[in-house]
Amino acid sequence: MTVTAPAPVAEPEPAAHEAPRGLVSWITTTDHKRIGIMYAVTSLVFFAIGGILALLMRAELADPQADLLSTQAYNQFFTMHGTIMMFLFATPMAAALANYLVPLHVGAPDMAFPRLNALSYWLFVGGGLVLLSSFLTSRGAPDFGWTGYTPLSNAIYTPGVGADLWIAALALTGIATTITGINVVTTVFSLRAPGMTMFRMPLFTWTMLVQSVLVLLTFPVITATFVMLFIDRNFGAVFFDATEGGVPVLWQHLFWFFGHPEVYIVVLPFFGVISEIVPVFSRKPVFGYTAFVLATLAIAAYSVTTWAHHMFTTGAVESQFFAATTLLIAVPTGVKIFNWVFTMWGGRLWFRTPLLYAISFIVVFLIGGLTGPMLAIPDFDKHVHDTYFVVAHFHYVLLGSAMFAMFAGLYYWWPKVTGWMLRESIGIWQLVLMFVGFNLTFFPQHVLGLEGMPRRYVEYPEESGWQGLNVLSTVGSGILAVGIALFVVNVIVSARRRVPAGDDPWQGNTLEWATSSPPPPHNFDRLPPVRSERPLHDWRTDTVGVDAAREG
Amino acid sequence: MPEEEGPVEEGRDQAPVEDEPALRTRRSPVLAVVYGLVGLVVVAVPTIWVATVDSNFAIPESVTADGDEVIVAWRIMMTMATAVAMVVLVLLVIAVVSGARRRTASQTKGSVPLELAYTAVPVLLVASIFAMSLWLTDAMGDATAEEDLVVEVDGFRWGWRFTYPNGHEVVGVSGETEVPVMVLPVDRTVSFELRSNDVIHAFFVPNFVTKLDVVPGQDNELRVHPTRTGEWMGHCAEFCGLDHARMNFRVRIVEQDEFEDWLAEQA
Amino acid sequence: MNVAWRTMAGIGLFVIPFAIVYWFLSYERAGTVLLVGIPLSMLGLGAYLLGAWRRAPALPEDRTDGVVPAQDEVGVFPSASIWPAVLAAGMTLTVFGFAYNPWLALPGLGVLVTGLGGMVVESTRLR
Repeated sequence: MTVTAPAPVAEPEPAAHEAPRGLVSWITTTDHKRIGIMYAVTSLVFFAIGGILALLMRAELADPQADLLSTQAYNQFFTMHGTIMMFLFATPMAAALANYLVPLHVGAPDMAFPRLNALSYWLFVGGGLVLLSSFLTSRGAPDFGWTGYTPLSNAIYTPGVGADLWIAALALTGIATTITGINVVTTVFSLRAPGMTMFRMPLFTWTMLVQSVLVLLTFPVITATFVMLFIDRNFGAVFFDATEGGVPVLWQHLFWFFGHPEVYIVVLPFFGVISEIVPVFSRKPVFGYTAFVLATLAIAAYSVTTWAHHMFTTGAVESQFFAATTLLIAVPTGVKIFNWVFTMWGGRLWFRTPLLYAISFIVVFLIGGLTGPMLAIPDFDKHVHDTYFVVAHFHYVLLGSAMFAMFAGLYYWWPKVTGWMLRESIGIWQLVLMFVGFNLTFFPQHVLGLEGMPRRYVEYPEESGWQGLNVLSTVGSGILAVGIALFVVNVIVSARRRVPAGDDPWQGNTLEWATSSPPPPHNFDRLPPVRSERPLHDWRTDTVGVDAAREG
Repeated sequence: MPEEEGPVEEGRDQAPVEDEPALRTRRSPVLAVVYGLVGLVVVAVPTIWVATVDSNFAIPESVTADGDEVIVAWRIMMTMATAVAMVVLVLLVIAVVSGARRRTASQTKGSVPLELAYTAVPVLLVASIFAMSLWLTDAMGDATAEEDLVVEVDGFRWGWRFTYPNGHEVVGVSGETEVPVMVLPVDRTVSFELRSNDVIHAFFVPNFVTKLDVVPGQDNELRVHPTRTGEWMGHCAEFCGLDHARMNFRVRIVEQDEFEDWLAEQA
Repeated sequence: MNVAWRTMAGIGLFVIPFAIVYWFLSYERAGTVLLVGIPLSMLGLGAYLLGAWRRAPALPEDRTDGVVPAQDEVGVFPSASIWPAVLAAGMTLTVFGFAYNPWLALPGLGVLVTGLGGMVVESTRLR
C-alpha cells in the first residue's frame, strides 16, 4: 500500500481499511502491530517452557541428593533454560514491544521494512522449533550451559547432533534479531513524523534505537563464533582445541564480547518501558530527559568494553582494565534510577498496575544493580564466580527487569492493543505473589553463593548445610510461578467481560494514545502536532510545548 | 478488592489533573524536616550496623592470609551497598508517599545541579571502589610472595590428582574412590600448579575465598598461605560435564611437623 | 539527522581510547580486534548519516517550529505477503539440514530461493 501522510489536526475520518481475518492473514501479515503481537505471544510461550525447566531444577535442588531428574536431564535443563530465556524470551519480547510501539511512537504507518519484519518473526519461530527439536535427538539437548564453553562444547566432549542444532537455531534467531535491529534503526532515522526531532522521541524509542545499534554490532560476532564452533565440531578445525594449538579461552573472549552487550540488549528496552510509564502515572514530564538519553548512549558504549569481567578466574585477562570499565558502567545505570525516582518526586501518583509494577522493578533492579559493582572487583569475584551469587545477581537484573517491566508494559499497553482493560485486582494479586516469590527465590541464592555453593550443580554435599536456603528458594519459585500464572487468569477473566478502554485510558503522553484502540492498519488517521516530547499531553492541555533547551 | 474501573471516568476515579506551572502547592517545612530526619536514621542505622557488626556476611571463615584481605574488602562493599540502597529506598518511599497525597503535580523537567550531583556521586563511589580493588590486589601479593611448597593439581573428568614434590599422589575419582584429601602445612605458602588435559575445571575451596580455573593448554598457578588448621571442603567450579557436581575434595591443614611426618610416610 | 550522526559517531569515538589502552595493557589480540571493529563500524555509519543529512533538504521531522509542510507520500509499505514466511521456512530448513542431515538442506535451499525470488519479484511490482 502507498501511504499518504496523515493530515495534521483534520476532522476524524472513518478508517479506510478493514482488519484482515483468518489464519492466512496472520501468516502473510506485514503489519508491525500484528507481528508485535505474534512476537509477544510466542515469547511468552517460550517463557513458560523455560520457566517449567527452572521449576523442575528447583525441585531437584530442594534435597541435596535428590534423584528427581537424572544428571544428564538436569544438565540439559539448565543449558536449555538459559538459552531459551536469553534468546527465545527476553530478546524477542523486547522485539515484540519495539515492533508494536516504535512506529506508533514516532508517528509512522509501519516499520521501514515490513516484509523483513515478518521474515524476522518467522525466523524466530523456525529457530525456536530447531532448538526444541534438539530434545528429541538420541543424545538429547545440549548440556554444556548456555555459555557453551570450549573444550566442553566440542565434538569430543559433546558428541551428538543436539549441539549442532543449538548452533543452527541460534544462527536463525540471531539473523532474526539482526533484521529487527536494522528495521528499528531505519524507522527511527527515516520515518519520524513532522516535528518529531530526535530529542522529542519517547524514551522507549531511544532505548530501542540504542539497543538495536548494539544488536547490529554484536550479533554478527556471536554468529561468527557459533560458526567457528560448528567448524571445529564438524570439519576438523581447531580454533578452540588446546591439543592442536588452539585456544580454549578464545571462545570466552568472543562469547562475552557479545554476551555482555547482550544483557544490555535485554535490559535497555525494559528501561524504556519504565521511562514511559513513570511520567504518565506521576502526571509529570520525565525528570532529566537529556540525561537519560546520554546515559543510554553511555551504557551502550561502555558495554562493549567490559566483557572479560566474566573471565577473571581464567588467569588469562587484564583484570584491572575490566574492573574499571565495569565499575564505570554502573554510573549511567545509577543515573537512570535517580531519574525515575525524581520523576515521581513532586508528582501526583496514580497507583494503577503499570506504576506498581514499575516501582517493583526499581526495587528489584536496585538490588541487582548493587551486586554488579561487587562482582567488578576481580579478587572478590574470584570467590563468588561460578557460584549462586552470580546466579542471584543476573536473575535480579535480567529476570527482575524483564519480568516486572514486561508486565508493567503489558498492563499499560494492553488496552491499546486489544481495546479492553485488564483487571486491576488480579493484577495486584499477581504482583504481590511475583514480588514475594521472586525475592524468596533469588535473595537466598546470594547467601548460598557466598557460602561457596557452585552453580550448575545437580546435587550438593549434605554436610554443606546448604539445604535450608535451597528449600526456601524452591518454595519461592513455586510462589513466583503461581503469580505469573495469574496473568493468564487475568487475561481470561478480563476477556470474558470486557471493559472498553477507549483511545487514551491512562491520559498518556505519546502518540500511540492519539489513535483508536486497537489502531487501524495504517496507524493514524490524524496526528497531533509534535512540539515536545509529550505531544498528547500538549494536545490535551492545549499548550504549545516547545522546549528551547532541547532543540536539534 | 478495589472496584474494577475502566479508563478515565468522571468522579472519584478520574485521572489526576495536571498542574499549571504557575500554581505551586505550599510545602510544609516541618514535614520536610521530619522526612529528612527519618530518612537519615533509616540510612545511618543499618549502615553503621553493617560496618561494625562482627560478621563475614555469609563468606565462610577465611583460613588463608589473602582470604582475610578479601573479607575486609567485602565488608567495605557491604557497608557501601547498604548505604546506597537505603538512600535510594528512602528517596523512593518519600516520593511515593508524598506523591500519593499530593493533589497537583509539579511540572519540572529536570534540574541541572541535581542531575550533576547524582552523576558525580556515583562516579566518586565507583572510583573509590576501584581504588579499593587496586589496594586489594596489592595487599594480596604480600603473604604469598615466596613459595614454600609446590603441589601439582590435575583436574580431569571427573576427579582430581594432587602430586607432591616427592612424587606422592592423592587421587580421587567420582564414583570410584573416597573424596580425595589434600594435606597442607599451616603458615607455609603453597603454590598449586593447575593443569587439565581435557576441559576447563576450576579449583575452589570456599574457605580460601578465591578460586582459579584449570585450563587445558594454560599453566595457571594459585598461591595460598594457610593460617589455620582444620579440614575444609573443595569443589570443582567450572562446569565440566556429567559428574561436575561429584568432583569434591577436601583440604586438611595441619601443623608443619605433622605435615612433614605425613609426607615422609607417603614416599 | 544532525543528532543521528552525532550519536552514532559519538559511540564510535568513545570506544577508541578504550581500544588503545586495552592493547597496550594486555597485548591480547581478539579483544583488541573486536574493540577496533566497533569504532570502524560506528564511524562508518556516522559518516553515512552525515552525508545523508547534508544531501537531504530540511526534513519535516527535524523542524522544531511546528510547521507541517504539505506532503504527498510517506512511503511505500508492502501489505500482506506470503514470501517472508516462505523464505523463513527455506532458511530454517537449510540451516537445520546443515546441522542435522544434508539431504534436508537441498530442498531447503530450493524453498529459500523460491522465497527470495518471490520477494524480489514482489518488490519490482510495488513501485
